[in-house]
Amino acid sequence: MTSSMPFYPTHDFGPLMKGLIIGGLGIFHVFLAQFAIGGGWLMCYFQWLAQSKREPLARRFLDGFFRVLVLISFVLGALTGVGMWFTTIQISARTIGVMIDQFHWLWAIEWTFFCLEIVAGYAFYRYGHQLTDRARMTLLLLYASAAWMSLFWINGIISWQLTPGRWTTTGSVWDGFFNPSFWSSLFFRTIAAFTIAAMAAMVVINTMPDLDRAARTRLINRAAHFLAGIVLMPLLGAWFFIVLPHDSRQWLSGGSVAMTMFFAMAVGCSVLIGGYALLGLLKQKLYINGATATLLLLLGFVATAGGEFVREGVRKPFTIRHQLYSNAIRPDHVAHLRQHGSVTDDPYPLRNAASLPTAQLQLGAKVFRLQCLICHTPDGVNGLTHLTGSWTLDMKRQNIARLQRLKPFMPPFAGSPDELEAIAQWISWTNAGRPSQWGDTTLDADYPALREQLRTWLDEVGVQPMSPNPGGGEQSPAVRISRAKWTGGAEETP
Amino acid sequence: MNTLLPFGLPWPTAMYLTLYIVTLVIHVLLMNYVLAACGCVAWGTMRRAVRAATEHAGEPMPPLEATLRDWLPFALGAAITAGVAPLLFVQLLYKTHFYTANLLLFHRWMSLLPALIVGFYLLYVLKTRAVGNGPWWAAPLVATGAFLCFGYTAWAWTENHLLSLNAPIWPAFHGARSMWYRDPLLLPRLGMWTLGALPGLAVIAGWQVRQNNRATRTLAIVAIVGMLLAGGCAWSHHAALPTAAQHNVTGTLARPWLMAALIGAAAQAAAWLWLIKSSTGTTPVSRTPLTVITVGWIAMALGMTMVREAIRLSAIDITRLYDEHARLAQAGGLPWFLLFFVISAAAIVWCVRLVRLGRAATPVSSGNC
Repeated sequence: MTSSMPFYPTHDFGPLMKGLIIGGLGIFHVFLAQFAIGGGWLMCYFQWLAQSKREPLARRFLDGFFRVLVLISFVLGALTGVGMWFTTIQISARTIGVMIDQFHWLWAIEWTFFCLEIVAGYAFYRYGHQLTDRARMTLLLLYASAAWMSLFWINGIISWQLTPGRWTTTGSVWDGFFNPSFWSSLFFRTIAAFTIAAMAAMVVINTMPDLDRAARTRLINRAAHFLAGIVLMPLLGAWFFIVLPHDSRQWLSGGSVAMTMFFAMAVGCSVLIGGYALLGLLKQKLYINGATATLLLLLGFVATAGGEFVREGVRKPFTIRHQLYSNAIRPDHVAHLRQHGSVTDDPYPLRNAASLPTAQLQLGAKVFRLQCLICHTPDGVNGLTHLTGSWTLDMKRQNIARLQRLKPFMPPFAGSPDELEAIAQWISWTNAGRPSQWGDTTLDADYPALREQLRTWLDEVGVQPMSPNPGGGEQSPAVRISRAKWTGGAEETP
Repeated sequence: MNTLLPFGLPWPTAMYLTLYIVTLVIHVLLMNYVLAACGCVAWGTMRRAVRAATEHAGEPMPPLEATLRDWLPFALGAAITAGVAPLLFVQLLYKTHFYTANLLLFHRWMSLLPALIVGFYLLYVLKTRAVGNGPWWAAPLVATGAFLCFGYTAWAWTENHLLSLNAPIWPAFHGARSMWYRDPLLLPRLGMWTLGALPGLAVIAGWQVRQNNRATRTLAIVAIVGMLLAGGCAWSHHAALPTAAQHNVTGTLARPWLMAALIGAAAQAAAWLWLIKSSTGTTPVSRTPLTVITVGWIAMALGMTMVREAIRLSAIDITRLYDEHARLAQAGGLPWFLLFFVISAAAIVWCVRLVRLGRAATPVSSGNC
């Protein structure tokens, strides 16, 4: 096999981990997008209440709520969506490249629904007050359906990253799209969208002027109907949990402390919202004022944040399961990179080369940049200094060589023995406070023996991740070919 | 390669290129409207502010400016949405080049997102009573701020495009921690596309203010001046191009497209001149010249975007990407995309029809967009 991995310039985000950047924007975007989706259906419901004369204040609520939806969702939602795309390129261009290769027609379908959503939405916003109830309802239904269809299409693509299912053997786009976690994830997100919309509606109702408490209560109780689906969330969550790969389930159930904490955070906030919704609102025992409504909405945001963090995190050590590791190195490429070196062909120079005293440290910095920087920083969030500060040099060598055994959510080290020694030295140098003088072990007389030892450790641990392959064991040639078709090396290199 | 674009390309590459061009032209039309309309509104508010400070206090807003101001937020939303499709296809066509330029410009590139968000909200702020009835400086400040946000976005895209074509300097650019790409083509190219936005604005606004002869004449002048200035920038851009790119522009690859662009521009200019001459009295402008202008603009935009690709192909060896495009074309979903495209397009037409029928049956009141 020849090296065909495309190299891209890489940035560090200072003390911030790259995952925090994409995660932060992603959570914000998902929350807004789900608000738009649920909001569309909520407005259909209120339009029905208005035209069937069941709720005289429904039309007034609609005008106020739709203004909020347009100003927040149309503007911030649309632009954070584009922002997600650009940010994903900044974080991992190879990952988004593979996803677009495979699913570009489905993304194009999603775009057609974006267009419909914006036209139907603006038509209602601008001309709704001049239209008949029937026309208003039609526009709202078109808007809400288009918004939900955009969720339908993107849900298939992002759930494929975690559970590619039969796609791994067939390579069929539809096998990838309707993957094992597709339906549970779609239903879960739909209910989450309804919940967020209902909570946002309660905030809006509390800001509507000239409404007495009785009128507010009536509207809030109507909006609370959209919280009813929350009772299904535990079932859908369990369904999602069951279809997760075995190792991903382990991360959630204690295998990764961070994952478990975020999972608990999402569940805890959802339980609080659900409890309040069921006991307080659906049974109409409690009145919800503006502060409580805002607090519930914030809890919804925290639940979304926890859920999205979990969804991103449980893919580890992959960004696309069994196709690309978190650092965007292909699993079937690791063996070659251990022979050839992972950064041998990287054309992009280090920006701080002058501050690194030896060529070996410069090599180590390049290996860190390619293989580690996606999830770690030198000494910031998830910093290697904190994680390895107590390790001896030999421990560093052994642990990095056996990375996937040290932490099963880590990918195997994908470099040569020289690169392994270089990154061990670079970490030690960083931990020592980056002194201006540092030895170069490649100049030592016993370095050939050390290199052989490192090679032995790498060979012993092998190139397979700890996550079992579909069907277990080695991949068949057919599976490798099927995957390589989409994650393959035909990408152009600069 | 010496066959007219995209006919000399293998079908997968030709298909993706065609889809890219068609969706890009739609995006360009809306983007032209936003950029140029925002510039015109900023100019109008400043002009009125200056006059208000002297002898013309309380001068009403002209109908053309009122229309542009009213429709700008929707136009921006539509422009951003329409931009998603060409963004998708450009990645399929020139993945490594597009991604690398994005990555090299880093914060500069990403900052166009907050710029767009700020610009978007400023367009809404511009329509509020607080700004409309506020101090003399409020409207010019808000309108100029929005225009600067969109101008910055145009500049960032131009820089990104030019950097994506200059692969040999990528490693050095990265090593130097640079986030500003300077290129002799930058200013003429930016000038060409920015000033070329004026005829694009005139096409849409021409239909919007068809009932108003004075506004139509203003648009005619805006369009003609815009085309002349953009043509001047295009000439300097061409002169600054490397020889290989110049050959691509004037060779068989793109010459017919260049001719189409020139004929389209000439047709627009002639139709606008005819409109200036004929739009007197209170009779609404005839649909015929506006149709000629619209068709002329499409020919010009299509021709210029094809010429743009011909220039790009002088810097990128597209033959190396043929296999990649052929592999991508095997991905499933194309028939479903076509189906949903038709369904969504039909639903959009339905929305427009609902509004037309609904408005026809109801007394007109002012919109609130």
